[in-house]
Amino acid sequence: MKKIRDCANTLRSKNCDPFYTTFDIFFDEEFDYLKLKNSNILNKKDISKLYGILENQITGIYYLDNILAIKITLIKTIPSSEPDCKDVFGSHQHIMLANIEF
Amino acid sequence: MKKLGILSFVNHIPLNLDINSILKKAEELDIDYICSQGTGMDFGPYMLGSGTQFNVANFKNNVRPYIKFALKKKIKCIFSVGIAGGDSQLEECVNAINELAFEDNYKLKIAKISGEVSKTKLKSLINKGYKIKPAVKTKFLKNHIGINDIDESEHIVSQMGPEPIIEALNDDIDGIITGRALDIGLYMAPCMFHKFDKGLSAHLGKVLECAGLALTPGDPSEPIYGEISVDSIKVHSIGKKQKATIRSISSHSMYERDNPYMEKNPGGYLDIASAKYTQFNKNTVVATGAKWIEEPYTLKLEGAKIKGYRTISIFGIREPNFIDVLDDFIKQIRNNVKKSDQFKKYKEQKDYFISFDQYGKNGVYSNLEPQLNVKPNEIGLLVDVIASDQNLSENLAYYICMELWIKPYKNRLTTAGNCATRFAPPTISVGPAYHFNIWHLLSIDDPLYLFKKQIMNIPYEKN
Repeated sequence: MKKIRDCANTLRSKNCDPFYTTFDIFFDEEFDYLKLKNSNILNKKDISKLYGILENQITGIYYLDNILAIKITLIKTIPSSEPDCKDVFGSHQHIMLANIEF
Repeated sequence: MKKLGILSFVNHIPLNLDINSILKKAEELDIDYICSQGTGMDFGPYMLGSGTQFNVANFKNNVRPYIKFALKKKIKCIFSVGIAGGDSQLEECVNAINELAFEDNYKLKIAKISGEVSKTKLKSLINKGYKIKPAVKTKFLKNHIGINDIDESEHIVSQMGPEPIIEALNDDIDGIITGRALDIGLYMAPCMFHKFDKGLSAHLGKVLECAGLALTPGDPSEPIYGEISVDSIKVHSIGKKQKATIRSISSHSMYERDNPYMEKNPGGYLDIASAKYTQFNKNTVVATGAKWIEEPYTLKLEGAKIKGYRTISIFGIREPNFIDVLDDFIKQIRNNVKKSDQFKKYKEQKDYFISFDQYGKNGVYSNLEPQLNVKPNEIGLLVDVIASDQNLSENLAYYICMELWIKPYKNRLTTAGNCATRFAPPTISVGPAYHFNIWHLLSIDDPLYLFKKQIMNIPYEKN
């Protein structure tokens, strides 16, 4: 078992406008990428639990085989700069994904 | 024209320390335009609402070497400026360029295009039945925008597409300075003006918009160079520290967007699902295959409304006995606020909002923190109060401070104060806090209608 953080080249989160957070994961090794892709560990049900959101807040989970990349986008529960928003750029939301083992 | 070259930088990011040597190298390149984004809502609704931006000295310093370069090489600049890109920020940035013209002794003729939307114009569009719908489905945005919502916004801007810039390129000018604009539109405009493919133009814009962030290692303070030809785009770094690789360019193509293949823009989508990237040499990537898919024209409107007035306070907590009970202690403070004579007439979540962020424990993720059971050595406690007026906000924050300082807890050793107070006075009045009450798409056939253009000679005499 490996954690995503131990094999991803890049794992980032970022607002894409104040209402969405989008995550990009890039791999160097096709083996790791395919293993994670085929495991189906990154599914709406489990990701929504990790982030305390409803499944329908996840707007997409995309696999980009040609560049060994995965993108996940979700609608924020608290948009950027609304009261109690703790990350106005959404740039530090990756930890729960980073710790996923596969 | 067989190809067109663009030098790109981000004008709100402080200059790279190697800027002089980088621009010396750039002199060897075929550059037709310098394009630079300086607007965006990443910084939240505050600057839009308050009409402010980062200190304009930053902008002035950042654009100085690029404008000199453009004048020397006789190339046009296309800059969006002022973060939120409303009229007050646009004026301030144009003033800064005016000062540069005096200081560096040059003359310019520019087209200034406002990105601020006239409330009167917008109301009349609504009255005429123009369609406006939320750009995102969320309970934070109304389905219908009415006259009230427009009045309640402090300022409303719209991301102009490439069209108003293309129109201005017909003028006899040295450059274009815009308020709020679509980042990629700044790059699409010169490409489309010179009749290059719209899909490739948009893809080039997407790759160049954040300058050196699309290179590896990513550093947006470095400029980037890109060119468009009939059937491809080509991108490379200028400085020695970064490179363009297939990974860096293709990954930037999906940066900050919800869908990696499609990006919604005014008048259509950028579709890069069938884009192909080739490593041309060790620092150059060529991309082909991006398409533009036409859609009915829409413009995004962005409006900021005052949510309340903010007061903050910061404390350090090192005492383990206090750390042990802090969660319950904070609950007790919330209850005491509700019960107090001063505040019981107000409703939480309506008249006021209180956040306690425990940095060192779960400041970033709150209850979602995966390692909640680890006991921290110390906690940085941020108290954030937003209330319907500044007095209520300050009073609430002071009340909370006193509770934090003096109220007893189990096994307390420190009877002279429960925590380390970072500032005196302990409460810091931040002023208005804003939120986006308008983040909507306006259906409109004329891409120019909302955006006022003015041709100006620089330097002009300052008042």
